[in-house]
Amino acid sequence: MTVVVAAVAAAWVRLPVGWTDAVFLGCWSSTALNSARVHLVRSSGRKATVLLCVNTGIWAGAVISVAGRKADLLVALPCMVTLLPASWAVRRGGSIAVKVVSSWLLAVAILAATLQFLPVTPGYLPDHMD
Amino acid sequence: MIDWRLRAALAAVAMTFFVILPVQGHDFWVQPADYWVTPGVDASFTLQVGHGPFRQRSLIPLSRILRFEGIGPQDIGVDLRPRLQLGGRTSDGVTDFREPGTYVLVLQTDTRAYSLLPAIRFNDYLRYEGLTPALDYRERTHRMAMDGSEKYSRQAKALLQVGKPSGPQPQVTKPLGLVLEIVPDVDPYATPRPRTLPVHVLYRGRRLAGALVMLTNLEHDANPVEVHLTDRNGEAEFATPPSGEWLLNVIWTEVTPASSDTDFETTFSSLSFGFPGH
Repeated sequence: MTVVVAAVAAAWVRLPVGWTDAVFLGCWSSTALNSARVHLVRSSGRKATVLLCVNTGIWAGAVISVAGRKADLLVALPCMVTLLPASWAVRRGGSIAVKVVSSWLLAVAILAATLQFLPVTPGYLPDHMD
Repeated sequence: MIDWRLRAALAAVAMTFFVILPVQGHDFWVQPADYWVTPGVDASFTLQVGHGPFRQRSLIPLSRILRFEGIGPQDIGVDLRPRLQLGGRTSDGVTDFREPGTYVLVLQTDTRAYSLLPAIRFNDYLRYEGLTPALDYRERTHRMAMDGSEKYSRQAKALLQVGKPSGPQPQVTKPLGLVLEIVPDVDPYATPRPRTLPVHVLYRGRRLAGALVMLTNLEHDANPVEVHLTDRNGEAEFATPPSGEWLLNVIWTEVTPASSDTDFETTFSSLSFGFPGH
């Protein structure tokens, strides 16, 4: 619920278009942080969990604010239901599966966040276009 | 704005699965709206770059275009740079040749374009474009694992038929002084239409052997339809297309001096032509 409220609130804030790159970087960094968090042995406290949720919601909403439409919230928010099979797997002793998926997501997030800083033409852009 | 970021995310996903993105063509050409036009009527054109999903109007600035001429039946070059309106809503310029005949539109840029590619992608590009001397050089100097940098220029010709074809048009089959140039040995617009389209390739005025010449259908341009390596006389022969809009292209590169800030200086050359009724 905290994520939902934060995302909806952030999506309603009008951010300058010039912040787009920074917002995407923040969103991918947040994704990396949450994915890495799964690997912590100790459970974080209630306060830390709420803070992580607020952080996640703000970045998701901010991306929608600068580069999407408010209707995108209807697409983004159902993604939260992936938490249901994940928590079910953890309760049944299958936390390794969640860690494997989180590791993959962590790799994707780090790659996506750093690709824009490469001096070379990255793979997703066509080359020799001048 | 969102498009490249979405691609970035998809590329990141693809990379985690070790998926290699395909190599695309890298050509630049002059694309008349119609290759066969009526004398005295405005004929618009665009400058295009890339192939398949990456094909787009070129964003090249006017300051980089050194030469843009129309060479017609009188064999006199008409300076068309003043006719360029780069970035126009529907075109990059308009010509209005009054004298019937075949006009060769010639465009040359400076070498200030710059490319820096990761090693794997640079090697793939060299292989795809047949730039084997550059590959040999990288292997010989143990640079296959290093990023590849180039400065490059564009040399483009387009054949524009004004009115109906009539008589020989020597300007079509004659070299026009480009650094890298595809010179047709027959006029593809001649009547009767030649069955084959032999060409030769010149690099700095000399015939170039071992260059990969590609013929691409511009209406389905993701991949070339015919590819030939020039022989020791710098010649290659293609079947003359029956209809549609077509592009011949060739690329050549040479190692730059050690003092240069790039590894190679590359030249992209194209010859575009088309037939009515496509």
